[in-house]
Amino acid sequence: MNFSFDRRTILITAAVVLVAILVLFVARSGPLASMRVTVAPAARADLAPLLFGIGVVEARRSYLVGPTTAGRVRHVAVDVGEVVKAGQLLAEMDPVDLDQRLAATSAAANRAQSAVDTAAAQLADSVARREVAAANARRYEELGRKGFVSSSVTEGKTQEMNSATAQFAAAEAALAGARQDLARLGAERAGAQQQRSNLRLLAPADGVVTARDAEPGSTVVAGQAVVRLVAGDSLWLKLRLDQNRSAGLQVGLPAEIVLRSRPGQVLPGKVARIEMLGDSVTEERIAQVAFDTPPKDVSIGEMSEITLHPPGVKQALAVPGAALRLHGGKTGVWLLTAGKPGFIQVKTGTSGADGRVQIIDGLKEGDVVIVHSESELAADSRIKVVSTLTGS
Amino acid sequence: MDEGIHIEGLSKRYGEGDTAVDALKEVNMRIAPGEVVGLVGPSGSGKTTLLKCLGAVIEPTRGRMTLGGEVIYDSAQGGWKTPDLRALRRDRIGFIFQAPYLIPFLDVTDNVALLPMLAGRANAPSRTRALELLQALDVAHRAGAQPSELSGGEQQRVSIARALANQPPVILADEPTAPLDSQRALAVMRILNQMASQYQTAIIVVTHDEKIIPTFKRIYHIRDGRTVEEAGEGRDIS
Amino acid sequence: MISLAGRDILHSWGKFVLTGVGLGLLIGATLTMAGVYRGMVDDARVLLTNSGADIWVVQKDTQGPYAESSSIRDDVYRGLLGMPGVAQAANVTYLTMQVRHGDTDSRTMVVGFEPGQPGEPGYLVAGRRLLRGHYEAIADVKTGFRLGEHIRIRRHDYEVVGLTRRMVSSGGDPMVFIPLKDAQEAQFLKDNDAIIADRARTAANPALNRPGVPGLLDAVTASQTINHSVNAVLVKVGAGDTAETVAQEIRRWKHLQAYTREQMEEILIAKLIATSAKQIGMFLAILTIVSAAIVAFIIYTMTLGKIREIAVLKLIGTRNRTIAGMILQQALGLGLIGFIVGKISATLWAPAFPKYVLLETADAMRALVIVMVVCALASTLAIRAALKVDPATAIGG
Repeated sequence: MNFSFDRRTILITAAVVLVAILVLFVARSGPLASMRVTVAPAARADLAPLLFGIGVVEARRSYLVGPTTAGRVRHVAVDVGEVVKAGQLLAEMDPVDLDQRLAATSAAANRAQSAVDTAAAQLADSVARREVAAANARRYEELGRKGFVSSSVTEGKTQEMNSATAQFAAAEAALAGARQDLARLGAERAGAQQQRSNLRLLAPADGVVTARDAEPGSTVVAGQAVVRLVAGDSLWLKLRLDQNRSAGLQVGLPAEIVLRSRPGQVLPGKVARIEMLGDSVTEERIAQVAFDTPPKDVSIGEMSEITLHPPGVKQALAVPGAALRLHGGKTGVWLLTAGKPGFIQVKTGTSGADGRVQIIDGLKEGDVVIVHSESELAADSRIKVVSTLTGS
Repeated sequence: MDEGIHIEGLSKRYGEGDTAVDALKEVNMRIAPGEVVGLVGPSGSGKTTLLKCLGAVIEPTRGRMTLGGEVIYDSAQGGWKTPDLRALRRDRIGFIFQAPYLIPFLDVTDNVALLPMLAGRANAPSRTRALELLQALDVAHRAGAQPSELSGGEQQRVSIARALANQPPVILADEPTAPLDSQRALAVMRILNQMASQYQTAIIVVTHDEKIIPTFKRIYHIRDGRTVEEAGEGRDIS
Repeated sequence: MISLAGRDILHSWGKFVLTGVGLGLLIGATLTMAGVYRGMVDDARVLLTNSGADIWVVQKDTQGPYAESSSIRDDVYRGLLGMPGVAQAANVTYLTMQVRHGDTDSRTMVVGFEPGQPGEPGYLVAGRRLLRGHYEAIADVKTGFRLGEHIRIRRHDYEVVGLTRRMVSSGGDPMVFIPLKDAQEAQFLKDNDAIIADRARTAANPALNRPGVPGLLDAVTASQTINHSVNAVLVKVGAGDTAETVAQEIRRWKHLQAYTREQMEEILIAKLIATSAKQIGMFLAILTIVSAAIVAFIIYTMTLGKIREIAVLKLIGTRNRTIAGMILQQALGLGLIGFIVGKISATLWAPAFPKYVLLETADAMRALVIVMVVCALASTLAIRAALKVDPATAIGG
């Protein structure tokens, strides 16, 4: 009898336990289950906001060195990565017939010089002739007036003098012409020389060669670069910031630069310039950030992450950003009062780097708000406050 | 009116026409209350058929049966007197089988109490009644046990208690001692005799067990569907 | 009267409970299957709810952005903002990709969103929202990422700053939220080899690389890498306007397709998961039939094992009703044990499923009713067998 009684008791207990487990499961995982949440009080804290954007390393000054006229590249003197000084020969264009033309103009100029010399000699000769003729004419006029010679002889001598004078004038004019010819040919020669020297592509400033776009033998058009240079000391970063996350951006703001090539290293810098022109397509603002000390071996076009720290607010009332919810089209927080959640609309201000958001209006210090929740909250949600919702 | 069992002209024919077999032919029996009678015969003699007719399990072809002073069957008056044979069996006939055939999922008390409960009596008085019977049969100490925990003799005694549970005027015992050794078989017979006199029940024991035949005072031999009454040795076994 | 069925169960409780547990596991599988379907529907619903939109504006003649691919210009939203009834409009991109985490990669949906606009995850379970405009991510906990870990998406590493949950695609893939601009880049960014090959291809094209036009090639190359497309614009309707009227205006004047929440649900639930739903429905039907067959066989076998007892019971005057009741009660008891075990096991193993399994209480109640009806029907076979037992077999041989 005892045995039977015991077994019945055990079985009934087992059945009760089974049903209890069922009820427990229904209560814990069914619609009756309460939602686990974490909470945090609204507290005063110093909020240090941050701005974050992507930067690309650019050169402040870069030079495209190429010929002024179309031509063929004859020789490139430098290679990519070379450091060059101002005036250093970078490349030379093929002069084609320019040297021959230069020789021809030089010869012509020399010949013109000879012509000037000849003209000068002729002038000197004509002067001498004119003086002899003038002296002869004067003497024969005296002799004629005194009647020693016939008037025809006198006239003959006068005519000789006039002729010598005219020859002088002609020699004078020939000399001036020869001189002008000489000047012309000289200018021509200088022009050819200038043209010749233009075929030598020289570095306009100190810098580093970044590209060698044409090789000897290739033809380039006027304006096309043969060699690209950047001024090595002028590297900075072109920073793109989301327009809606750019409040507080100003020149001089300290920046933390992390280059993609060295993710562990934070380089200091400053906002050097803010472009007036934003990018309306990508909705970004553009600013230039300069390194405090430019790092070595940085490559142009390298991506970087730039964090700016605009001035923050001291002792502001703040809640964790995850507490802010959109409910019925309004931004607010779920306030926990006597274990029940209630939605309160709030006005937010600055966001801190730690994710806390300043509450300008709507909460008072010490109000407890729901931060994390397992699902969307509603006014009739049954909640259970826990310290963390995830294992980690 | 006749108390006990009274059978007149009971016949049973299986089948029709040429294949018909007459299992019982004009059987007459009369057993008084408190009497234990043996029904002895070889296999196929018709003794099981007689038992089934008496047990209201199969319908006889002809004749008349009276149990405890009430006619339960009369072929001249349209057969069974009541259509509810189960109630008849439940209330008026006790069965004891070759094996105890206890309901394995009921404990000893409930095996006995089941009958009064089936008859519509409340649980508590049914169990009281069962305990009384178990007491009388000396198995009250196993009242809470499961049938499987009982010895063969104890089981048979519980089945006797069950047969007595509704105080039927008649108990039909079908080879109740077959699986038992002679000592136990005699013990069963002793109990049956004791119960018959104590509760004034008429008991028919169908058997071909030579060990117990000498205990009957009266024996019906059945052969080819006919019964012959003779006196038994009536050996004292008390 | 005592309960014969109860006594029988108590007597052979071991067999009964084992059978019940076996049946329960089968019922648990059935419940889970229903849960898988509910989970799929729920995945689709939370996807819509979490995007926080009233109207989805997508490419014309597509059913994007979830069911089909859709691509529209990212300045479309400005035009939409100017329309009456539109309170908020925000670009959003969806990109399904494999994301590596440790040694394994898992399928995730990368969502590009604009902070503070529709499409942002509504709640977090840990961490904070995005503060920087780039390279920060909010991940669903199912991705396995933890706060502070880095997710590599295409070329960039994103730091996980926040965790959320139940943010899944319609296919059940967990989501990773990253800033829109990064997502736009990630979506259309090719790998480096492809970019270099493309550049070479462009450079080899004489029409695009003319000797006399310096800078043309650079301009062409640059224009090839810029992407100004998004997959959809999420629109929130202002108070006082219905989504349908605003959507109609957008369809009419902007030459774009606009779906309201109801239409999106129709697309996601009726079209996207229709085949899966039918598949699961078939499976459910088969499981129900199998369960019914098992209950029927078990009860039938149990009854056949009790034929002699039933004959004795009948002989000593037990009514058919009582016997039938006993078998029926046993079948129902078996069903009840099975249901409880099934419900518990389904609840236990449901969270282990890779995709969301939603066990609804209404489904459980429905299942209980079905189990009981099925058990009752299944017991009729055994009841018929029991009623056919001849009480005469208890007598003689």
